[in-house]
Amino acid sequence: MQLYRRIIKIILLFLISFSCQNNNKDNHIVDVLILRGPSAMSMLFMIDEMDELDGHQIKYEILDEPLQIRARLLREEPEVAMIPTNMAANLYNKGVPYQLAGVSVWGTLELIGRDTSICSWNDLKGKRVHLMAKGMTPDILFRFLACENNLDPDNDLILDYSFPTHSDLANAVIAGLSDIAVLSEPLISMVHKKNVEIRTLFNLEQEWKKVFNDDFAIPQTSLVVKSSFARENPELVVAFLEKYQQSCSKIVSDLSRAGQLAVSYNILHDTTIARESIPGCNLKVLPSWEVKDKVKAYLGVFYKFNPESIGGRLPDEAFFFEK
Amino acid sequence: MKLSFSKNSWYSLAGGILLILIWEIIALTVGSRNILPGPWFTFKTLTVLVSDPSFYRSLIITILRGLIGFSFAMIISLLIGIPSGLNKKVESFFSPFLVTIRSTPVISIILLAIIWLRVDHVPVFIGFLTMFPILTTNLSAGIKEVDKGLIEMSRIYRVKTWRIFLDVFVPSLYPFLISGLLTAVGFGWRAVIIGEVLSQPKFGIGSMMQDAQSYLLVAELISWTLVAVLIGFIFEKSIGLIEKRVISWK
Amino acid sequence: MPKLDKISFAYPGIELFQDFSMDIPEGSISCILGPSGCGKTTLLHLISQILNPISGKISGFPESSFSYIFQETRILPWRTVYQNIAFPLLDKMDPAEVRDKTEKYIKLVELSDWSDQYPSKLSGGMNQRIAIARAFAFPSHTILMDEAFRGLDLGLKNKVFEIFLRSWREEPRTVIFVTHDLDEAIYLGKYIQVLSRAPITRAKGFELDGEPGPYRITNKSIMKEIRELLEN
Repeated sequence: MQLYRRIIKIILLFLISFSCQNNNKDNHIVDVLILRGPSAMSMLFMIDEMDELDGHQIKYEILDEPLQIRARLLREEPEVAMIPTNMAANLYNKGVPYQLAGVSVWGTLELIGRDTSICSWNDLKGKRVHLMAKGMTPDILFRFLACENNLDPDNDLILDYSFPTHSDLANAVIAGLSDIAVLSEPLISMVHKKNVEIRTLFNLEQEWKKVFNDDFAIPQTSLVVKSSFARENPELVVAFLEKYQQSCSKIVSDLSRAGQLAVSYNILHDTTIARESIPGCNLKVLPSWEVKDKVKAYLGVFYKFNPESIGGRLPDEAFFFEK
Repeated sequence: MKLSFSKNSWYSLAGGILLILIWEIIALTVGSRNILPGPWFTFKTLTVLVSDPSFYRSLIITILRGLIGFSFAMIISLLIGIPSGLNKKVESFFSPFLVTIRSTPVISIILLAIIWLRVDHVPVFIGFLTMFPILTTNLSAGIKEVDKGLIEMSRIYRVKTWRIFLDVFVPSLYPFLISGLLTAVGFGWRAVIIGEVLSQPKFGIGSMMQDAQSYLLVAELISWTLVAVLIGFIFEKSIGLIEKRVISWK
Repeated sequence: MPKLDKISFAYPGIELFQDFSMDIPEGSISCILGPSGCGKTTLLHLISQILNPISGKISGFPESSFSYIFQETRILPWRTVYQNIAFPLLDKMDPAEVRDKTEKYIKLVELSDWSDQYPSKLSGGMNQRIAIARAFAFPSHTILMDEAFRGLDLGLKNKVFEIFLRSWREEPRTVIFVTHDLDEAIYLGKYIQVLSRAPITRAKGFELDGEPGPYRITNKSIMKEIRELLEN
């Protein structure tokens, strides 16, 4: 009997520790989670210069995988995070209380390859195209654009998912194992540097613009804020967005410093590649109220592909942060 | 086949219910369906899942992949295991090969297989590669354990060789085959599903699990897991039944 | 007349038989006595052609057909009593004959009630009876037995001896029975051969009065001589 009581006590303590999450956090710290990649590059100057805003301390953390950020968002830990826009919608629809505050990374994807015969979408008929992973953003966007250009992605093309991560795919292209692939910056610049035969066949951002007739087309990566935090500090969020906007536009104009910072914050290993990839990343910060239509159109593409990819439905208006 | 409810079955039932209760308590404490949904919600999700015809398509495809991988494994293990059991030189010859396969982490094999093979074939290949070393080792061990006294007796009585094979050799292998089967099927089933998660063929339990994870459908992920566990359990029980039939003399 | 003619045999480092000769009376039960480990089993292996002598000749065993009763029963655990007895018969006779013979001997060894059981359900003594039935059902000319009754307790032994002799009287044939137990030899044997020490060069043969069986009357001096030989 004694033993049973002990066991039950231990189980209860364990459960209690679960429920005591970050209730003791200092209210003046803003945790910002960023993805290593173009989104981190968009924030470089800010990370370097701004660790305090309006009495609040800003802490930046760079993570490798969206899933890692997702796990922290599920536990409602950070105040601010940068995640793929479709993941933002999915989480919102699942009741995870984060709103979209702005979009900063627009279309970074390109169709690249060695095949010089490809000039139009029709030339892709019967060809093997390598994509990173089924159901991920590059896959969905590429399929959509293929359809818009009168190709049936499953029958007119051979879609190959053999290389499951960005780096695997990049290396495959460099090694010549893949003739045509959809890749993202900054890997595109890296591939160009290591294999001069590779050229850009289609820029997905440009192709998207042709479809939607719009400047700054693909709202790929978004900034989300915790709803409660936004509710209590709306001016802080707006100020943050403004600072972000300013620092991001400086990056595009001061490439050499951006390249150095990218290396010192461990986002890339090569300043040259960093510099060359920034233009392709289409970095520009636009706040939520200016990008609603673009985001809705973007999410619509995901919804058509598979509603579950954004959480079963298009998010409602409350998804967007209002100032 | 009679399903008998012995007294011990009631204890198992009680244990199972306690497990579900603990699950419910932890889920309530965690408080988020996106981290740990409770058993009732998961059960409802499961019901929705099984009422969709594509559920059965994925189920059958994964099971088929397992069976095909198993068949290949069985054939190769007979080809390698029987000579290995009979001849030490043959056994030594194949042993680096078997040891390498057995010790290589499954994940490495899967990642390589994804590059080498068509996506649909990866899970079958993984299943085969996981199962055949186990079957081979058990087979050759069984052959070595065959009672030589019985073979000697049969020879003195001038029993024809094919009958020695069928009536003495093969039956004495059954216990080893069965234990090899049980282990192999357990590992192989899990390996096939992992192979599917990573290689993502169009249909399959593993693909569905990966989708569920990707779209943050945790209850579905758990449901698919439960389905996989159930199928594995059914396989084991079936082998147990075969065992009872075949080793009824013990 | 079955006989061994100047047989030599050795295992690496051990000379077992050197120029050994012995006659075996046909159709009778001969017991070969000697201490354990002196080569008695090897002798049976040489006769049944599992082993070949280095030199010398073994002759007189018609068609080289042997039944063998081992010390361990060596019956198939996954076959029933009936199937075990029938097992060596299937290649030798047609199905009707197999059935008749098998049923006859199951009755003879008193295992009729156990015909469809598996050996795990029977005791050691009963399993040995299966081996005896199998040996007699099999159409052999010679039966070889290697310490076949070792490990059976006394009461059981008598029963098994009885059953053995009953079977033998049913279809008499040459029996060569190897043992270290004098009482067994006296009960069952008509002829007794005592082997010399290794390397075995000869055997001293004795013929016992009367017929094998429990109430045997034997010449006391023969008994004494045998005992003395064994002690050396």
